[in-house]
Parts: sequence; C-alpha cells; structure tokens
Amino acid sequence: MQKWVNFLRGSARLEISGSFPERFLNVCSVEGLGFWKAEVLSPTALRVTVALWDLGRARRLAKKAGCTARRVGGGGLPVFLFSFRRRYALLAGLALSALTAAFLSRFILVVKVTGNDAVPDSVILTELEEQGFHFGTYGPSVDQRDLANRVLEALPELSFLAINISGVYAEVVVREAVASPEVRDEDTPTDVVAARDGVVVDVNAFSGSVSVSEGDAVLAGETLISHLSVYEPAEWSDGQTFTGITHARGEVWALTERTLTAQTPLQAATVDASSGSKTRYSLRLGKNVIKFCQNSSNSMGNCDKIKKAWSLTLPGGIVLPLTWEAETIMPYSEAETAVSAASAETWLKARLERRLAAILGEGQALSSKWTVTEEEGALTVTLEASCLEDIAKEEPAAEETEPQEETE
Amino acid sequence: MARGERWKILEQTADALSLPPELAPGTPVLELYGSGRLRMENHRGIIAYGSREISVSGGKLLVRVQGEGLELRSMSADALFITGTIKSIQLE
Repeated sequence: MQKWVNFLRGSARLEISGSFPERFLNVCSVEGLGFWKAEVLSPTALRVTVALWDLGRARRLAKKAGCTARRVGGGGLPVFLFSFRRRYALLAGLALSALTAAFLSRFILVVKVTGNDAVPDSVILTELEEQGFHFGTYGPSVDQRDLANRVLEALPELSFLAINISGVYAEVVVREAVASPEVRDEDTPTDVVAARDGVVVDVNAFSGSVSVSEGDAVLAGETLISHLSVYEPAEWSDGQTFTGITHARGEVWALTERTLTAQTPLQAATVDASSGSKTRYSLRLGKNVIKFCQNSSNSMGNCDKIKKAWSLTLPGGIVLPLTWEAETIMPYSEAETAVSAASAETWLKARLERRLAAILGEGQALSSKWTVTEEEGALTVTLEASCLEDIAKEEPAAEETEPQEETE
Repeated sequence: MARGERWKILEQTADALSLPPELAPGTPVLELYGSGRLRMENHRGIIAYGSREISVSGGKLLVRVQGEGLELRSMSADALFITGTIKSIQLE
C-alpha cells in the first residue's frame, strides 16, 4: 500500500554530503520530514528518498545541518508525467481526447425502457423515435417533460412516462394504463338465435323470454330467447301484465352435427444441406452497419442464414449500441420426398381434433366418425361428429317493438 | 535539575508505583523482530550511520546496532526502524 502511495505522490532521491550527514537525518526526524531508503555511500555522504513535495524543505534542512543536498534521481507518477512535458503532440492528443470524450458523452447512446408489460419496448421506442428522440440525440437539447407528454398523447396505453437522462444513458420509465371494463349494452333490443341446426337439450335464459323448450329441433337463425319479456302480475293483485323490451341473454345447449375436412399432399419438399457455407462479418453502430466483405449480395440461390450477434455490455447489464455480427450462409438443395399415408393421417386427425375442440369451446364431442380417402396424390380426412354445444348467438332484433300494455 | 537526575526520579517514581517502565516518559523502547528488523522508540537521534553499524542515542543510553547491510528504513521524531542482518545490540 505504501508503495502505491509513494508512486502516486512521487519521490526524489537526494545525496547528502557533509562532515556529519547523520545530522541531516536527526534534523529531518525532529522537523517531521519523512524519508526512507537511507543508504550510506561513505562516512561523509549518504542517500535518502523523500516525497517530491518535500524536496525544497529537505534542501533547506540539509543546509541547516551543515550538509549539501543534490538530487540524483526520482520516480513516481508526477515524475513520469513530467517527462512528457515536451511531447506537444501527445499532450495535444490527450487534451483532444478528453474534450472529445466530454463532448460525445452528451449524446444519447443507450435507451432503456422499464415498467412496461403489455406494451412492447419496440412500440415505445418507435414512438420516441418519431418524436425525435433516438440514438445519437443531443441530450441537453431534449425537453424531457414535453417529450413525455407528446409520447403519452400518442400512446393511450400508457398512463405515465418519464425520461431520465444520465450522460449517454436514457431510462424511459413507463406505467401502463388500466384497461376500462367492458360496458354491457343493455339498451339495444337483442334476440338470442340459433347459431346452427340442432336439438335443444337445455335452456338457461338470463334475460328475455324463452321461445323454445327441451327436445325442440331448431334451425340456424331461429329465435331461441326473445327480446320481448312478459311480466305477469301476482295472482292476488289487480295489476296488469307488461311486455317489456330487453337485451336477451342466455345459454342454449343443443345436440348438433359437425363435419370437418382436412387434406394434405403425399409429397413434401425437403432440404439437403450442401457444402460451401460462408460467413460474413459486420459491425453495427446504432443503425449504421459496417460490412467487412466486398460482395454482400447473395448469389447462392436457396440458402439458410444464421445470424449471431454479440453486443457490448457494461457491468450492470446496460447494452451499448455496438454489436459484432456474424452471418453464416449455408446453401441447400430441395428434393421431393414421399410422405407415408399413416403419418399424414395421424397428423390430419390431430389437427381436426384441435380445430373441433376450438370450435366447441366448453362443449364436447359425443361421438365421432372418421373417413380417410386417398385421391390424386392427396390424403383427405373427414370428421363427422355429434356434439353437445352452446348454439346461442345474440343478434339485434329484426324490428323494434313498442312495449304493450294488456289489461285483464 | 539536571537531565540525568530528572530521569532517575521518573524511574524511581515508576518503581514505587509499580508502573510498567515503558510508561515512564522518555524511556527508550527497543523491539527486535527476528534478526532482520529493529524498531526503537524515544530515540534522541543518530550518532553514527553506516551499513555495518548504526549508533542511536537513547538519552542516557547509547544503542549500538551492528550487523551487515544495515539500513535506516524510516525515521521520525519518536521512532526509527532499522533493517538488515542484525548481529548484536550493545547498550552503553
């Protein structure tokens, strides 16, 4: 540790000559002047090392002790730097580098978005770019509050946005807006109609009057729950029967028949990797790309491209906009290969089952029948399924009906 | 009062009070670390300095350090530090 301190503060080697050079050591100790590496040269001369800033004081103390002090060397950082005092080009380069670093550090090089979940970084960064804030923007010229307001206007998905600029690093802190709940339309007269043909199994009407009953066969488009609601008075009252208009809602479970078909050719194109891959390197600085190859066009025809990128990352995870990219191009040739009918059938059946499940939602297939045909080099699979599903579909009433009053 | 008398009184007082002698002000204290390093407190200055012998004043004592390649590594008003191959220490 002491060596480092001595190196940083610099030191001077002095040769003390006189009748009694020990007196110089005693005077230094009394005056509190630190020295080290005392070396005896002769009975009348010795050498000591003192801190660079104590050089003048040491000379005065040597005179006081009746000795003479002569500097014979030195070392440390100040001495090292002082040796460059006549290298004007180097000093100018250092000064220029310092000025350049100070100037360039005012430009935005890294923009990081935090606090977003549903809104992607790319959306926010694109909007910032459209508002004039991007890689290379001069930081002090940015009105952060005004910029944040303009971005918030353009992106209603965000409720808060703040931009914190620190040197070349800009952190964009956002908070996403809470989505307003869906407002149910209660005013438009709406019927519940059958989405497809079927036999009604169960009816659950949440509003409106039920027009069908269990066991009824219905056609697609037929009204299942009407928007006209009839309100009967209590038996012991003298009230009147009202017919009101409402937004009919409900579930109508029915037995249905569905037929789904899928087809695939029994020939497929496959690729074979061929030799002759080559790799191109490039350096990406922000949006600018420096390519290290003369011919960047691709003359290989069919080929795969594999791109690898290494970004310069600072400790703490800040990724700088300096990326080394390697793009490997591997040519391949295409060939037609026969696909086995069994594997094609399995694949098509799985696809049809997934499609049926997606269509039925909470419903289920009660029974299914598969038909497989092979014709003209293609395999066709047909699924005929008996299903239990909700066929209720809301549709605006055909014509508005005024509420009627009936008197018993 | 002469310096020697004052020194004697301080020593006698420390003995009478059963105090450790190093608590008496001005008493030279020598610490020898192996045969390579010697630390001395309460010195009164260098009398002679050489690579084979260093003489240090300790007030009423003269400490003569003899050896090979002796070097005064550091020195302050209160303490000094000698390194090298120490072969003997004489008190006079």
